[in-house]
Amino acid sequence: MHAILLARVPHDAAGDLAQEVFLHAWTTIRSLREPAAFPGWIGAITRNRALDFLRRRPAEAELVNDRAAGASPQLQYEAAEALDAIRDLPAAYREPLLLRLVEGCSGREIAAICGLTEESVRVNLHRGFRLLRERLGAREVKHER
Amino acid sequence: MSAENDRLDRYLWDPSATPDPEVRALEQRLASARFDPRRHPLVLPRLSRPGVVAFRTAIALAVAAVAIVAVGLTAYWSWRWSWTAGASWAAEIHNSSDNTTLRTRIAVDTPLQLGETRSARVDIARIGTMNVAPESTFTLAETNSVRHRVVFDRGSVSVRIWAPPGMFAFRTPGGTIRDLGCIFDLAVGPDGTSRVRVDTGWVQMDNDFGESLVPAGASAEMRRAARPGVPIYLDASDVFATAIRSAQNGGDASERRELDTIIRTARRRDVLTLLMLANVSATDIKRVLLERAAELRPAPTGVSVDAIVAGDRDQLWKWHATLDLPPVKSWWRNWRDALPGR
Repeated sequence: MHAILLARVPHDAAGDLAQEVFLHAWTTIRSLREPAAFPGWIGAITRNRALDFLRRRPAEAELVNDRAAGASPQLQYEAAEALDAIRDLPAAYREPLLLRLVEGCSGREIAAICGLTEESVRVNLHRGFRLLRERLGAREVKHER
Repeated sequence: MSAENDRLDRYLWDPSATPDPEVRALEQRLASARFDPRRHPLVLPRLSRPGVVAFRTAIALAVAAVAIVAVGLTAYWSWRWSWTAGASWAAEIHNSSDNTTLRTRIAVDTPLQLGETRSARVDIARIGTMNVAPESTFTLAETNSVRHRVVFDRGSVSVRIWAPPGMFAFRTPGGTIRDLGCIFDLAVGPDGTSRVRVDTGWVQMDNDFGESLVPAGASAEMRRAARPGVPIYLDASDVFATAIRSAQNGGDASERRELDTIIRTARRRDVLTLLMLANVSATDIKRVLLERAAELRPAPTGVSVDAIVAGDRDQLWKWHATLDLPPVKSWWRNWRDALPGR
């Protein structure tokens, strides 16, 4: 859920939004009739909440600090840069990569959360990671120059 | 190179597999972006169970319904009892000779005399109706939100009222007939004697000489310049009823003359009549009546014939209170009297 938010909103806002989504899910869990549908259900709530956030507070959203709190400035910068690079990837790769690299989910878990087949997730992880590696490499080269 | 790619893909798919250095490095780089539950503690609201929600909803709906009904009833009662002072009453006067009905209004201080072929149905403001028989004469004397008074000189009338006690009354030649929330009939003869017959609730008759409370199922008379008569149940024997009326109309001598008949023909239910007659009788007659009443329906604990004869009226009314009579203050229980068609 947090990763889904990270794919769309700044890091600072993602934590608070995750909390809101949890609370919303907790109070409306009775509307979920099929327990097996929980991952897709909460994923949909999360995406809607992120869209809602961006629609209502576009200007503020841009100003929100994307650096992770608690880490050293260098680590915060590197994490923000990596997040930025992931967000620049095609939409199909963003959520799987964030779920895998940030939240530590397995391919099967990602498939359940994103509502994709395992094969699609496998391909997205594979292609997404390689594309991310290229982009991060290009950025580092740019910085070195 | 292929082995490295395999390891990378395996680790990408399964975080528990052998770590790939490049993926691992990126994981560590992004570690600070991971959701930290310590920074976002969740305080979950307590969830109501569906049954509790349904119960609460039902309670809320019930409370709302009761409130709506209460407001509606209050508004209805306020409307029903409110009346502009001096406003005329609606009436329909029916003429049996040509079978015609005239809609009209009865104004204050304007006598209405009905001939032998005319009867009237009159709305008593908004609190009830009265059906006046032919050859009756009456006048609306006073009408407002708290008092409605009709002077009834002669004739007969059937009344249905649903209102607090005393709001409506007839003034007759013999005295005042007060509605205490009921249905009753009143007849006033040429000699000015009023006869009341009560169907529901109570009627009070009073004049300068005293008062008499008449419950449902009983009748009573009130003559000019005489104490109002005691209530006599409609199902009492004719002999008993005649003896009671005769006893009241002829003074002590008549009462002594009728005493034996009264004692002999009284039933358990007639204890009310005996008590009320004893209340206004001479001491020697009072004792005989009370002793007979005690035989038919023993006096309650703490009440004695001797004490009542000695003048303790409170004890007589304690005895009266044990007679299964409708409570005067609960006039509102006769709400059916407010319905049309009774």
